[in-house]
Amino acid sequence: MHPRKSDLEETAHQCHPGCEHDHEHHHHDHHHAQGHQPSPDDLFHAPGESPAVYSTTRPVSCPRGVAGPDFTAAMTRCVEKVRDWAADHRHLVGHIKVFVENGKMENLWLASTGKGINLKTSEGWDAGISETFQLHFTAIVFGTDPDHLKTIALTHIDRELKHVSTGETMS
Amino acid sequence: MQVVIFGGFLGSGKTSLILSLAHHLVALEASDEPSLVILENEIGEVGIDNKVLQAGGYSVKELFAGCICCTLTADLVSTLNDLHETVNPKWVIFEPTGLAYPNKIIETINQYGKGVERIFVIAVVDAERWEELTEITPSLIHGQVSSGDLVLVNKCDLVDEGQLTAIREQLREMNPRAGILEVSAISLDPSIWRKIHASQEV
Repeated sequence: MHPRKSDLEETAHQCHPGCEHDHEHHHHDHHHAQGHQPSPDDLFHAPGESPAVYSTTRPVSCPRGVAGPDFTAAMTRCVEKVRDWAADHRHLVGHIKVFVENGKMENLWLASTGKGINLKTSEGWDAGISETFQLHFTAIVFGTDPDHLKTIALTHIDRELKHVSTGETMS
Repeated sequence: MQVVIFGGFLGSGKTSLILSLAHHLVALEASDEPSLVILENEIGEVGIDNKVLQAGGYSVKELFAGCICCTLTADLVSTLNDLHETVNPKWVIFEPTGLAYPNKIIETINQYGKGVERIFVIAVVDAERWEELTEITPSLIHGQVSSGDLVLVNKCDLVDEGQLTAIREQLREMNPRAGILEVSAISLDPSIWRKIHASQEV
């Protein structure tokens, strides 16, 4: 018997028919793959292959101003580093995505599936110099754990943001 | 409302293709009435695709009540029904997570969705990673492809003709009924949407 609509509305999470997970979900769990621990067979028929996910949003202040192309170069290096780390460890990249807004309705979008990096900028991004940015970053990688992915991602995000905002480099 | 679901693995290019289709549909309607709403269900605390689509000037709603493997959510149904009762757009484009099985979504909408005249499923496959993904995730890729009314082989510019031929053959085995088009989202000919609109009433 199918659930009634009211049942759906009253439930924060509904799995598909046949889903046999032990569900104690709440909204905050859903974006942390390891919090849910679906059966690997549900995903890939490859034991152990449920993805690690790391995502973050952060404001970036650059009092001296940063040109769009410089921010693009920094974020491209960041995606390259995370991508290359995944490749070195034979992890499958679901995707690595970066979206940056500069507060002037101009933006940068980077995406990689572990091979090339797709880059798109809105009109005006390359010509502009901004003092504040909003960075959004998400990486989904199979074969590692979320803590390790977070460490790797943060290392490269922090390094590039420090470089772009101060001109300094982190060792 | 006509619902267009974009299925396909992570990174297959769904969002780029949705941007193109959205542009086509909005231009086609050329109306002051709201004609298109995009629903996004992403993995991760931070939505990226929704920001990309919003930056394109489109109305985007995020769905939160879904986990990476299931996607079937009360949020999807309640959002669709709310849209029907309020905005009632002509088109709803839904981008589920790259790990979702579209057929499960179709079942849910068919059972509980209000005001949905038609559901059209576009399966997006990544030509560049086809061999890798069909080896690692055969069940998921098969599930996504077999649900499609149309299969878009994206990133076809990144593989050679021999690879494309092999992909086409495998796709045909997985889904004999679907139309198959080879595209490249980064240099997409928007006329493909006109063809789809004309031939499939999308």
